Amino acid sequence: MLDVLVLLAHGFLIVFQPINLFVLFVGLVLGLLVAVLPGLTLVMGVVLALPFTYKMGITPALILLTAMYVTGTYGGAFTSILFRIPGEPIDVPLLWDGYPMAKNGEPAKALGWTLFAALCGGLVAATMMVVASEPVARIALTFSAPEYFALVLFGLASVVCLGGGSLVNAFVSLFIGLLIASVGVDGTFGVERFSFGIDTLRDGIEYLNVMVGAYGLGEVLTRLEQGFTSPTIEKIGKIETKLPSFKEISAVKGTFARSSILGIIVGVVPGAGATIASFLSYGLEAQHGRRRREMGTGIPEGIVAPQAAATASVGGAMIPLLTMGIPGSGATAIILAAFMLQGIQPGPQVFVSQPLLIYSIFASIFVSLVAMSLLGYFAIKALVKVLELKEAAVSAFVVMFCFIGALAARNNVNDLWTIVAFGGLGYLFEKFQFPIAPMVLGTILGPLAENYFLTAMISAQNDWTVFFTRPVSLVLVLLSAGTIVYQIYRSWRESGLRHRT
Amino acid sequence: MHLRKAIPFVVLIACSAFLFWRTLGFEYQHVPGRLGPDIWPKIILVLLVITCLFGMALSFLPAEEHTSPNSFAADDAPQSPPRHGLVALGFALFLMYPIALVYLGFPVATFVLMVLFMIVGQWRHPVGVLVSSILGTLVLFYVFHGIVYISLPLGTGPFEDFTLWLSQLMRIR
Repeated sequence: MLDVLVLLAHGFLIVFQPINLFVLFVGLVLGLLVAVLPGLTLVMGVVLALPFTYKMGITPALILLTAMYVTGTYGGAFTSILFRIPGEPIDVPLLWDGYPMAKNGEPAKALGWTLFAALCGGLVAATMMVVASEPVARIALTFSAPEYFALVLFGLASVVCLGGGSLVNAFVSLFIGLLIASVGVDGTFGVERFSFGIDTLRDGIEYLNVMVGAYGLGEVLTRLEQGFTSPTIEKIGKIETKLPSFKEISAVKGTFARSSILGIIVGVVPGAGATIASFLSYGLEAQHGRRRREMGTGIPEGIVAPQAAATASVGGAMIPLLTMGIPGSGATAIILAAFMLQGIQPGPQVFVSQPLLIYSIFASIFVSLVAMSLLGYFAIKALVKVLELKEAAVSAFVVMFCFIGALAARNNVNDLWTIVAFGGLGYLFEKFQFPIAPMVLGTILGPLAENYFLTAMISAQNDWTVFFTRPVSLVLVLLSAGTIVYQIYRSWRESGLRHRT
Repeated sequence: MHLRKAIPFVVLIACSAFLFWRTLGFEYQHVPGRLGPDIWPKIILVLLVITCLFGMALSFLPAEEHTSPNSFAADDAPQSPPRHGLVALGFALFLMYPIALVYLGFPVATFVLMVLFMIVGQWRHPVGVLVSSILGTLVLFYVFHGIVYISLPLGTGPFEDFTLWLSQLMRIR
């Protein structure tokens, strides 16, 4: 434990270096802006920031993206509570009690509860992340190809099942992502696959282009279809934050503890992110909370539950990413991409080879949470002013960031065609209600899955039972199967109930 | 309605069949008893076809409303009618940008794209459109070319001269 504290102290020293502190501040402001603007989602914002990190070192790059991720779960609370404009799906549950509390004449109190929940939920999860990561990484070091394949399988199964909506569409999206990952010259055999003699395809399709195209251009096209009709605010009046007293906080300690733990657990599960944490936590409070009958009328529990869970999910999601290289959410998938762009595959080996990098990320999350709260307390009025920007102008910039992001990766104009194609595909996915996240994660995890699968099969002389004869692998395969079967059962039961009513 | 829902699955099945046929033509040194580079895509394609067949069958069942926690469905904001013309125009602009970039260079192509995109996005304020496009182009050019050092296309002929002149003016080396 002492080693951990020493490394964490070193991590803080690294974060407090001027350049790292500067990028952390930039990340915080960008994260808040992205969360406030309804046209931009947290994942999209982190994607758009990725090109800026190409020429940075790995540490500032990760600090920037992590800071954005942390604040992205909090910034939208302001517009949700004050103007009933959720910047992100994460913020929708905050509307249900935050807005009524603001309308009841206590907007400053509502913002104070959000700040408390985000800061404390985030700190609890960050502490858990520091404590749990090292042991998890030590366990992961004993894994070999079958366990890793089963782990990736579990990650992909969770992404498919927890995304909401149609299970069939989510599977289709995942398989498309896995197929995209197999395009180009195969790493093991050196064989060209699905390149059709096109040079750009021979080099493979960069997952970055898939993400930028589908999340960035696809989302812009979807919003353009609505004529960029995001809600606007009439006038930004007085905005202030009033923190709850110790007595008030102790009255909601049960809610806070439940939500923080739930947020961490949801964050750890691959594929589930802050949005699911926020909705589940509100639902849990509405069903089992002490004041469940008053939920929706503007009570603190209705604000603390979704906000604490959303921010706590950040620390949770970082655990599988850093210890096993499995992203726990959309934003951590982009952070994984940032690692890989710098030639580092996150996983247990990084804890051995680059512990300072890992602990500087941990430290940056603690610093981000505190700095985010200070920014939220003192500077939010200026940030909320971005809502006065025209969505057409904001989207034009988003489009440009997408193009520059694709251009910067390989300095190849042909990559722009790839992101335009994936922009179109992203739009069609939205149109036909296919989720994008499974495709993106399939593209990122596809090469890993194939590599682990082939390695496991070679070492076991093509014996398929290798995945069922090793305990960890068996448990993970069963968990994957259980997740899928449970989801199918739930869909079937819900559809049965709908037919009966 | 059923047909519209089934269309993506039919298209995907056709594409999968074509790609499966392509996997049969992968050229590699086959080692007996060892899996080749075709096995992984084949597994994925078979799973994709099975899922699509299932999806196609489901699409002919009575329609059901799905709500997702990831959507804004929880909010009761009114939705405007879809404007497919705007999407087509926007997508056409995206398609033209890579071509324009090669010939016009980054500053001119970006300025043109931003102006046209804001117009397509229905911002009816010519001064606002022009000012934000000019400022946006200059800021993006300076940040990415001058600070982040990304090699942005210069264009050809007079446009190349213009890009170089602008670089000198902004003291970008």
